[in-house]
Amino acid sequence: MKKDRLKWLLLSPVIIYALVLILLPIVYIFILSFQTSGPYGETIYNLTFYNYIELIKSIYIKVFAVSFGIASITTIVCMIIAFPFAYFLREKSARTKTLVTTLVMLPFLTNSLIRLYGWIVLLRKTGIVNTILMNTGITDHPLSLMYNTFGTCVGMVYTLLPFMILPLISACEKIDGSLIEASHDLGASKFQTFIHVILPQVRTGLFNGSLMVFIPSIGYFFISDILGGGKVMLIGNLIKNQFYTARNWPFGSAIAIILIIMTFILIGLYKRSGGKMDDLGGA
Amino acid sequence: MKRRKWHKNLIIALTLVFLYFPIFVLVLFSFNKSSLNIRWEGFTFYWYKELFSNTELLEAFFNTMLVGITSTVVSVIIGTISAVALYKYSFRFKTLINSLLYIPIVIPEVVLGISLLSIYTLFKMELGMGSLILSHIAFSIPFVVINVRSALAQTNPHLEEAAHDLGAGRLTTFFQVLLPTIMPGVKSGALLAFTLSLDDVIISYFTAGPGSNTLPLKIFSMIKTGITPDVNALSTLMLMTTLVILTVYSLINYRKTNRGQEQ
Amino acid sequence: MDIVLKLEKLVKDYGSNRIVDHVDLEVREGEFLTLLGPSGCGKTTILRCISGLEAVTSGKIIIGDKDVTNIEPTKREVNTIFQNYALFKHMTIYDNIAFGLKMKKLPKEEIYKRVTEMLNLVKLKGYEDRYPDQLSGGEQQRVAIARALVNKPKVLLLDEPLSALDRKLQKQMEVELKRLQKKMKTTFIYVTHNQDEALTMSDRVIIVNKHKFEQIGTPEEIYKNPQTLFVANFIGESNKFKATIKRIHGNRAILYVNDDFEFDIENKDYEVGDKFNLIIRPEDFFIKENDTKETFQCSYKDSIYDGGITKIYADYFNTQINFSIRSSHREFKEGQTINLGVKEKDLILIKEGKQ
Repeated sequence: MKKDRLKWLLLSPVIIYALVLILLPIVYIFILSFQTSGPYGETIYNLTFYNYIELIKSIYIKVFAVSFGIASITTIVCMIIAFPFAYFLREKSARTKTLVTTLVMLPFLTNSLIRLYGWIVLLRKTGIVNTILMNTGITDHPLSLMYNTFGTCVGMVYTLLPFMILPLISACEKIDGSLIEASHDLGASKFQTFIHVILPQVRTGLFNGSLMVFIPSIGYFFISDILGGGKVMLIGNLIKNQFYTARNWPFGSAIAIILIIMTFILIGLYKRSGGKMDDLGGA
Repeated sequence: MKRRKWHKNLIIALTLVFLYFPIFVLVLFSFNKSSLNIRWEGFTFYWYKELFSNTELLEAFFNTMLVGITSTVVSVIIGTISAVALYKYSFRFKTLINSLLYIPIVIPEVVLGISLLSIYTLFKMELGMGSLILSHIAFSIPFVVINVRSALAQTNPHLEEAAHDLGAGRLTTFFQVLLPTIMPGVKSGALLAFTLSLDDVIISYFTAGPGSNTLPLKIFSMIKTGITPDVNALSTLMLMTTLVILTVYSLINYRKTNRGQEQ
Repeated sequence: MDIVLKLEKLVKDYGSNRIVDHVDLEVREGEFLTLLGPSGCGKTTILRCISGLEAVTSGKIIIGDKDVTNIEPTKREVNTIFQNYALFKHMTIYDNIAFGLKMKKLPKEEIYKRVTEMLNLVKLKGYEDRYPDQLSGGEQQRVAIARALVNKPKVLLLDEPLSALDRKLQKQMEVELKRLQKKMKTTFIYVTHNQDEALTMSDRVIIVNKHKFEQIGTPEEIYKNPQTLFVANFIGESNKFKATIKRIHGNRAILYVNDDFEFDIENKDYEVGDKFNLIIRPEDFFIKENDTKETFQCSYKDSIYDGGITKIYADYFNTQINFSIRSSHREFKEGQTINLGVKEKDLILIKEGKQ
């Protein structure tokens, strides 16, 4: 077969896939976001900013704010848990590292919904955490740890923690120990060394992990459904409602477009700070 | 010094406990007498038997397996060919295509879900197994491409030339030389695609049809009424099966590398 | 003496860059020919054109009596050894070596016979079932050689095969390669930027510079009679001086060296006023006790002990002469005057303008 023909034969699957299953859907909902929806859920084709203007209403702003708030808290908590984990793992033997890394990835092989459900046992008013707290006298009445924002946050952190751990393990591996020694040798305290020597080296890994936690968390709806009791309305829930209950696809598309724009901005920042695209996606 | 080590190990252990506690609960409650997944009421194997009479659950499991295996096979084939083609050739819109490939990985799944649903509706496509499998293929291919691409980046650039130099044609070179070399990347891509497909809630939610319930969707629909322990039993069985496969696989690998070193 | 490979006006361009500029070459059967030159001079590209891994822009490549210019690499009777060996890591050593024979669809028994022969030849008997990753660098090198030679190619192309090895191993492999080449009587075309390798192993050396062949000759000819300044500087160490022809009488001429002293040399069709770059190798100087004619009078600056040889640096006018002598107990003081003489036959004269 001629060289050229082979080239296009091999390239056509990916080109067709990218254009039809990635570009086309996004372009379509972009166009859709400028349409409006009729009483029976059908789309009325005109060109208007109506949906975007609607989004400036305070109810929707509130949803965005809550989502970003939860996403930010989730990201920070994940960082706080994941970093010591990854950093201390660094000094372990190769066998331990492989074992621990596998252990971190293993939960993915079970259903994430059931695992979230397991938190109910812990967090309910008569659940394990409350029982311990009351028995040891720390509180005198059961805390409301579920069916609210707190529960949702716990669920988010739990689900997304591995996405912060894995890039951080990788980043901590690459820390140059001799730089830490040099820093101590020159008189820096542990804290100063951490800020000036360690942190810069893992910067990209932190950014990577943060992206892989933050972006999904603004789009999840099932976590708030299970542990938020349906009372916590996040962007993901909003979009789901527009597409199912409210049957207002143009409006839902507009929200989705906002999410896309936000994602692109964050990715842009990541790349500017030296991040590599191929490191995302936990390969 | 010993004290230091102790608290580091503790942090690692505690974090692992945090990750595994719900799994422990999940397995434990599969033996729970109570039919609600909330309070422990006694030990029983009942649910493991009951599982096999729950046709809806079994059907969902079967669908999940079917979708998982089909979408993985297709996305691995397309993904591997694509990664190799992108690695070898350059063409006008290559940067665009490369950038597009990252989109399913980075954007929130809900966006991908609704946009796929929208074009399925646009093309008047009926929602069912077909649309479901297509959607799973859609989000799996980029992961395969990235994994294979990273394996390709580590191969010796002269490898294919050496094969040609020794008289191998293009097809022979691909199947006998290149593919075996990038196989680790293909395998990790396949594993990733399969795992993502098995656990997918969001994209399946939007693109599955009435008769094509998957396990995650079935479980999701049970949230309001309560998840019965036969679901726990099924998940425990799935987990155990995976663990067994993993252990066997790593034992085989361990033997292989060790045998080589003995010589 | 048969010509096994011919290059006629070979040209290779990459876009607007000319990498190989009208190269002609006739390679003799059974010879060990080396293309030697600095990075980027085009030597590897020439090799790749011969193997077919690179298409030529214009010109011809003839192997035996066949014009193979447009024939694919799979069908030429040429094999290549790559710089980092490019062994198939997922195949055993046996399968690696057998690969080319399998592609030719030879019968199993024949393959077994030839592979075993080859393994013995490269001293890797017993390694059949191992994998490349289990072998050392030197052993992998030998597998690469075996994999290529087992196909009995008309020409074997070697692209800097020793550059990844440490020095001691390099020296050992140089001897090995030469031994193999003589035994198999295969024509080797070797590419390197390392002059030690080139001078040690080759029957003929081609100095490649700026996409052209600058000089072809035996190692001795290249070393003793460099025809251009580039070759003189590239091979061995050299001290450079300016010299002019001052007078001519019959078959002798007077060379005025560095505006310092006169040297009586044979007249090789010189004319008065001819300007030259005079090159003298460090080992060609000898120390004279008294200042006589035809002497470089320099003052001692520094020395480096290098085992059996001591290299001495001495200031001479506004330049420095580096010469080497057998190490001895002799000591010099800084600034001490040293008189250096040189034999006429060791004078290398390169006409100015012949860069």
